[in-house]
Amino acid sequence: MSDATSGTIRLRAGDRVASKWSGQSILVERFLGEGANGSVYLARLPDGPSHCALKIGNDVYALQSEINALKSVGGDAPRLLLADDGTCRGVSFPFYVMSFVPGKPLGETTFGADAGALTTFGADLLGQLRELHAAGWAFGDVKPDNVMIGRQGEVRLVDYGGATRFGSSVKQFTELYDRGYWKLGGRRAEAAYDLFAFAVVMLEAAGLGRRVRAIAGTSRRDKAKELVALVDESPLLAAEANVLKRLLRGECGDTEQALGAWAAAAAKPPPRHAPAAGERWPAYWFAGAAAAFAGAVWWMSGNGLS
Amino acid sequence: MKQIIVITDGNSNEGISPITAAAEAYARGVVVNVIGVVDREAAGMRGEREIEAVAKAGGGLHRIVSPTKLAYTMQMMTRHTVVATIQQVVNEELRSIFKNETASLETLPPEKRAEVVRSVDEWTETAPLQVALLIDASASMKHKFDAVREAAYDLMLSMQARAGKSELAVLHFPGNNANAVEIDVGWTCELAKLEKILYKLNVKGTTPTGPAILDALALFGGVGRPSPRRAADAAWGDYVV
Repeated sequence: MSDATSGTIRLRAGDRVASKWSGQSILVERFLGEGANGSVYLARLPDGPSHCALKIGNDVYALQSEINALKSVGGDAPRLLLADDGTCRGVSFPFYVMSFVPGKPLGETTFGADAGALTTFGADLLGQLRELHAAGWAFGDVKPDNVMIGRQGEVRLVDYGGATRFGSSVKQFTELYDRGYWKLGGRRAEAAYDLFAFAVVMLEAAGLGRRVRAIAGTSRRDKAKELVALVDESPLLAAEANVLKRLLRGECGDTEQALGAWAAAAAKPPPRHAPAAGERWPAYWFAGAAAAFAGAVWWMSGNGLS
Repeated sequence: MKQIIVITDGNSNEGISPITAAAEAYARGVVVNVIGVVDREAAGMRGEREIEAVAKAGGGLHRIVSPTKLAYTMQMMTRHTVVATIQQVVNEELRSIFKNETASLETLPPEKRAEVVRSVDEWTETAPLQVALLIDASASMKHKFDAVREAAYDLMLSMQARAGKSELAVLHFPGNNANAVEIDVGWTCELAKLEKILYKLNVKGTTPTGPAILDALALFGGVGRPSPRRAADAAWGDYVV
């Protein structure tokens, strides 16, 4: 689906991408990661004061679809700075530039024994989803790789390639976080779709990722039941257990309500360690992040197929 | 948007060439995709050249995958085929609008491109879609049926979520008696119906892929109901792979 001169290119530090329509030259600083429809680099625009993120795609259609979503969702999503076609070292490709979200992906990082921090993280992530949902969009591919944690512990969703308007089919998802895969609901974009994925992310953040994958890997029919029962296995999630179960079962389709229930549950915690006010998130949270999971399933993408 | 997805693990050995059958389907507006299922992904596949040729003649895609990747591959193919079909129409439109033979999405300036892709997305979501899964039910495929059932269920799940009307049919081949195919489920949008697929099997040791494609094609209407194979077809076994 791409023209003859385009192709996949791995950019290197110091490379300059010449833009076709706006006539700019973008300086590449380093590779950041692989996204749904292309690779992302840390870069600088000539007139930009600081860093930005450059995403280059190999499918003009899929990338444009992502650009359209990014333009529409607003809120806390990275800001779109430029959408154009570029050339570098003789290879041309579509690309866009967005504001850079510093931080590390949640990846498989767990929160150790810090239940309070886990609660705060959950509330922040729900807060991100609430904004998006209020605007009528589902994120679609909620998973640890797409959740960034900044230096101060701030939580941001990244990679809006899967963002889908409520009512349309979710284009891009990852099995483990897809309620359809667990037979706990359909794939139409709605708040409850993301809230299910949020609950699975919380199980992983509480250190139950291996258990979730073990259950997913079996061919038993009652996988869904086992997943829901898993919530009770983490003492870290004891306070919010009931909220999480409801989200997994699809019993709450309102993110504002979910956030309210989350806060209420956290407000009356069972006796356990509570973090001091203003406590910084420990450094080990950031360690060992970004283990790549099962690749996202592209229900909307030309990638990988000839 | 009409598609046939053939799921097989080997060579056809009976009836009209599947390449000819796929070309016939494509000529009638039905794209033929082919998935070869192998036990281990790295392992080569005997029928790979046939698979490639059938997909090419059918205007579709082909992939060789392990059973665990089946659901993912089926979804990608279905989506990709819908998008590709729409894009083809869009590119033709662009060529006529700009009176330029090389006009395409790639040559449009960013703002125009954004608009066109928005329409393509809308169309992709709402266009009526029919997918016929055509499953090779020869003996060697038997232990892959669980994966095939899962994948069919998963495809239906995604099709159900679309705003446009989406229907799936499931057929396997060879069928009972002289039939090339057995219809497991006719056009449906209900998940529950997919639980009963691939049970009434008749293992005959033949793989009439070509006749099965023609019978699947008949499901789309316009060419009548699937009929027993004609003797002439059955004798027509010396096609090139």
